[in-house]
Amino acid sequence: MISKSIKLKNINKKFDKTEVINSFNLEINAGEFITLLGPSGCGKTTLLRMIAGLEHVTSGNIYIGEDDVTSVPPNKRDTSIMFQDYALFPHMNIKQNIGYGLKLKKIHKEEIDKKTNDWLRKIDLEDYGLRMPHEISGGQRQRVALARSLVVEPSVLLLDEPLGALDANLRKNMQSELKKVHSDIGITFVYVTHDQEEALSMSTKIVLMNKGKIEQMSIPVDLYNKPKSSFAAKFMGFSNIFSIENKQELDMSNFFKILKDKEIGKQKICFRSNNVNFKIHTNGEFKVVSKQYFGGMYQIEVSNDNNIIINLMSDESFSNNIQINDNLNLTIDSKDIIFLENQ
Amino acid sequence: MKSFSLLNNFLYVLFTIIVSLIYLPILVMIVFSFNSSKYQIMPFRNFTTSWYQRVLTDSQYIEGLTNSLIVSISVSFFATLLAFFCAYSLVNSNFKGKSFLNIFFLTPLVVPLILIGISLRFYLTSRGYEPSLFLVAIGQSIFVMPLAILNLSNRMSQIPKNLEEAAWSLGSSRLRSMFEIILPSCKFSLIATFILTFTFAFDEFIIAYFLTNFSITLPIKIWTSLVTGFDPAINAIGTIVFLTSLTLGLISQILFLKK
Repeated sequence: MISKSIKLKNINKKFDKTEVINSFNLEINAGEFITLLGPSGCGKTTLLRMIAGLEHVTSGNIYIGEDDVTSVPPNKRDTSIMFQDYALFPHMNIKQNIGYGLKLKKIHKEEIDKKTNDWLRKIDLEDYGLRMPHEISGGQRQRVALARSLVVEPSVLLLDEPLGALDANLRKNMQSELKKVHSDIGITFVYVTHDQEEALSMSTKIVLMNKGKIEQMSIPVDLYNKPKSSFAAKFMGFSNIFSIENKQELDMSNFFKILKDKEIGKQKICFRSNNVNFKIHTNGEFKVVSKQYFGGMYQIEVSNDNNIIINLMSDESFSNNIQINDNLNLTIDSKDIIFLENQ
Repeated sequence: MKSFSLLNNFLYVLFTIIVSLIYLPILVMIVFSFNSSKYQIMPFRNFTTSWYQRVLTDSQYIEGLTNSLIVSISVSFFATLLAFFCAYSLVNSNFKGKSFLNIFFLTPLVVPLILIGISLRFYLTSRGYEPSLFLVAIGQSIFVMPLAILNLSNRMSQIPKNLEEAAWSLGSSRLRSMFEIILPSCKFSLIATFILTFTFAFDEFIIAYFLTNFSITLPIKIWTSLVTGFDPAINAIGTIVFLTSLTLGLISQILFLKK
């Protein structure tokens, strides 16, 4: 299959009068597995639908490969889309579902038969060809939808939260399967999800979106370890985001005393709850406010006299004996503190 | 609990009364269609099927029945087909004034039939059309169309939007996806709509009365027979029509449930 690049140039999108996408620019290299990540309502699905041609752009241009496809209808674009609820055609059996795109291309019947059988084998559903979509399980439907999208050999595969409806176990399996498919056929994948773990484990690049704009675009490792804004930090699971007056002044023995609410100080910082060490101490400056069990771990909320609330995460065995209102002393390694660039 | 069950019994009685009010006259008609007496009064004389034999051999009734069948089948075919496209565009497009237009699509249901009949007669005859069964078919199509649109758009709005979108992305044109994705998903509703519009057109009297002259439909024939004095054969034909309508109505209801 041929892989193609995607270029979004100055895309704007309004629904009635609400702006959903705002001067959006993005270049996706051919063969990349890019994830559009963000909370619901950030415009990621709209963007994907615009690449597919299912949604008009209000202004701006979309290129697939060298071609400007801005006003090309979806059936003439070199893309295939996969939906969260799979959208299998309920009145066609599995084989007809997979072969539908080939039938449209007026390909010879024997050729269609051969290709669909190939795909049925690839997705491990060889004996299921004559079943109807409602007669197979969610995970199987998922694989049929994937085969149906890929059998037409698109240059770009668009995936709209395709694993959202699966249970946790199946999800993990499908994640690695999708990754394998991507490296096998090498076409461009554009993947939409609100699940940061899924984004981290699958993509070659992540575009974190917020309110119709790019918040941060990085490789997964960088997004996880070096978020640039408090939004990115929060989305990547940093539950402690604060600010300090001055970057130079960092004195680790005094660190928790200089923390301020994130909106007040000049320099925003963040750190992960599992990087904070703590000890019970009668004169400890923090008091335990709440404690919640998370299966093998406890999440503990502590607060000090300045009303700074810090989240801690620790092993069950270590924090079992900690009670509400206990006094704690906190320490943290300076390497675990991340300075946010965007203020 | 006691007062609750009392209320329950009361509702049950009420329900029975209402159902009886609807079906009792029809039941009387069915009973008398087998009565050998010429007069529609008790007591019941002898059991006979002679009224049925008379109806089925009377050329005027047969002609009315044939005309009615031809007109009703054309009406339901035409209305269902057109309603499919109307419903598709109502469900799938978003244009200015759509909800306003929606109201207008449905008004023929509440406009008195006599108005549709009179205005169509004046309009069509002024355009040089002679009253005929063809005009009846046009008038009745207008009458049943809202019903057909309502039924089909109801079903279509239940079909997930992304089924068609998936088809488009696989290379299907809009027209093709309409026939290959939407049409099969509406299969049962289409048949149900066809049957329902058929029964409505088949029973319709007022529009037909205004729009035809010499070739008459069955309801018109029944009416003229009643005007010229009571003919017990009416009971027989009424029973046939009622049982057919009831069966068709039930079939269409079941099909709607099947989607």
